[in-house]
Amino acid sequence: MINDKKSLLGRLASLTFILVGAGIVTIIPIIWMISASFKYEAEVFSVPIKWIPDYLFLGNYIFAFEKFPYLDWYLNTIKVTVMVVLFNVVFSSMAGYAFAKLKFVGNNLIFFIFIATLMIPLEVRIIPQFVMFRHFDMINYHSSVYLPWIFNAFAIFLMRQFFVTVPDELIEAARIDGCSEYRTFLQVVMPLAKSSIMALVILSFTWGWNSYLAPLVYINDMKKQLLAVGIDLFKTQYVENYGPQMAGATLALLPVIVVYLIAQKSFIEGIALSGIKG
Amino acid sequence: MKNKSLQKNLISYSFILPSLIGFLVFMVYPIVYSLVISLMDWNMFKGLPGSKFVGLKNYFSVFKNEYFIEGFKNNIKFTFMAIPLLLVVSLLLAVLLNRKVFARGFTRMLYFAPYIATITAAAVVFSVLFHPVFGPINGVLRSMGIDNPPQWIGSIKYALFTVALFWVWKNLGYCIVIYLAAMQSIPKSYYEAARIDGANSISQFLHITLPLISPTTFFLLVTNVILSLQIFPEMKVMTNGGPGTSTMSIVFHIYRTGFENFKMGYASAVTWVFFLIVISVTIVQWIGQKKWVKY
Repeated sequence: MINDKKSLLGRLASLTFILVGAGIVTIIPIIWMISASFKYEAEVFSVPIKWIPDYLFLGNYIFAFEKFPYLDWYLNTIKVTVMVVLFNVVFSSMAGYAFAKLKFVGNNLIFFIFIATLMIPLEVRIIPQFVMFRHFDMINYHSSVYLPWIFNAFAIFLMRQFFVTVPDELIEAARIDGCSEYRTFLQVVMPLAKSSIMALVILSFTWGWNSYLAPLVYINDMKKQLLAVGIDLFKTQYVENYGPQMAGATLALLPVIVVYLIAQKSFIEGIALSGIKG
Repeated sequence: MKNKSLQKNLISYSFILPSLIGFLVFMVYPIVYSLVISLMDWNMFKGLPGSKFVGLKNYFSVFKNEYFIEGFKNNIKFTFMAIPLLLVVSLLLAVLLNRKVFARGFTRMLYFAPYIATITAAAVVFSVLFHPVFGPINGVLRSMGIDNPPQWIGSIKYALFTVALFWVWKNLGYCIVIYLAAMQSIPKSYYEAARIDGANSISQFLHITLPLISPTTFFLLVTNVILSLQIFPEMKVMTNGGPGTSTMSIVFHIYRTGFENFKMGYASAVTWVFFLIVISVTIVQWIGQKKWVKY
């Protein structure tokens, strides 16, 4: 009996060892990046790898901030991300609720057409949108990156899947009490959707923060650029400066990693939710 | 009575109004416009009035363009390298994580971290890690006594594979999370019954877990194949399409011709050919699923 327990514990420990080991290998690139960003150029590639440099060299960060408008990039990226999250949460919840619970002519047909657009890759729309934004003088404005997010079929689908599960009686009761459709939505239904909304906030945060193709094409003013494109520009200009490159990458990654560490549970639950098919 | 139902309809429509406007302006209009552009010898500066209608000429030149053909080949190679690796490794790790282990939450967090990392920043890191001369990967390999380690992103032979490694690393966490969610919804009683019948853990995996999560495998297969076909930022940052054309993808080709050479008529035609490729690949998978997906 005791032997059994011992071997079970042993198996548990060795399995944990394997999994944690593989997990650490997974994040080694991130650890190496942070470590290299604090090293002198000559030290960056020394083997065996010194994970903690003898002393923290900040020159790479100073270099990055002096040569490139990192601060602008941060503010721009934050602005775009906030707008993307806002659009997704507000407009997609509204539409998702309408498709799930409201009766109107064409409800199912419009929903079906919306979902069908999920098949069309972004690349198809990028050229005509570019022509359109040029026509309206919107090139180099952040709105060209975030405005298209007012329609997001995937987010509408996600929210609809949740709203379908809300009991009709609840909505009916609010109506009988004299609530308008808007108040019912805001004060009765939305509070129930907290976990779905959290999932959507997190998903759209990653969409906004990682926007790449749109800013690459629609924005060409250095100061107006976003982080994801900025870091690529940095790399192309300083091909041989590896320390500063790592500092730049760390600066771009750090905010996401911090947000992730704070809200990792919601992150993972949100992603899991997005994979459940309706 | 009629007025009331009209009013009800209008209130309902007001809920979908913002999405509907977005749909018309940023979906319908661009799609129609894209078709128009693809039939033109498009003049970027003069727009529609300054462009000449050329019929299907752009579409014919797509299939004659060597860069497109290279890109298409690379896309196929990339998908075949990356997808099996991604699905097998994530399934394996999810199975292990689904067992009783210490610090499961912590470990899951480690695997998931790359998924939320900004693609371009992470790609910069990988391009340095896999640098053929200075990179720490080859540094470690050499210190282990391997004199001629692969040239990774510096060689035509390994560049695409290196990008595939990066792509798998980046998306592993997502697949693990989805697999775990699916595995946790399998009733425990199935496994208990199998154990009573004397089934070991391998046959439990083969006969219970694998068939029951096959819809999830299908979901991950379809979505990840589409994503892998759309690969572009990874290549732009890590290899810029090179060496030669060894890491040139179709989307890269669209970007180059459309936004570097400003041949937007031709590039639009490529986007539609690309769309047809994505749709056909997805349809083939839908047909194929009957053979192995158990609902």
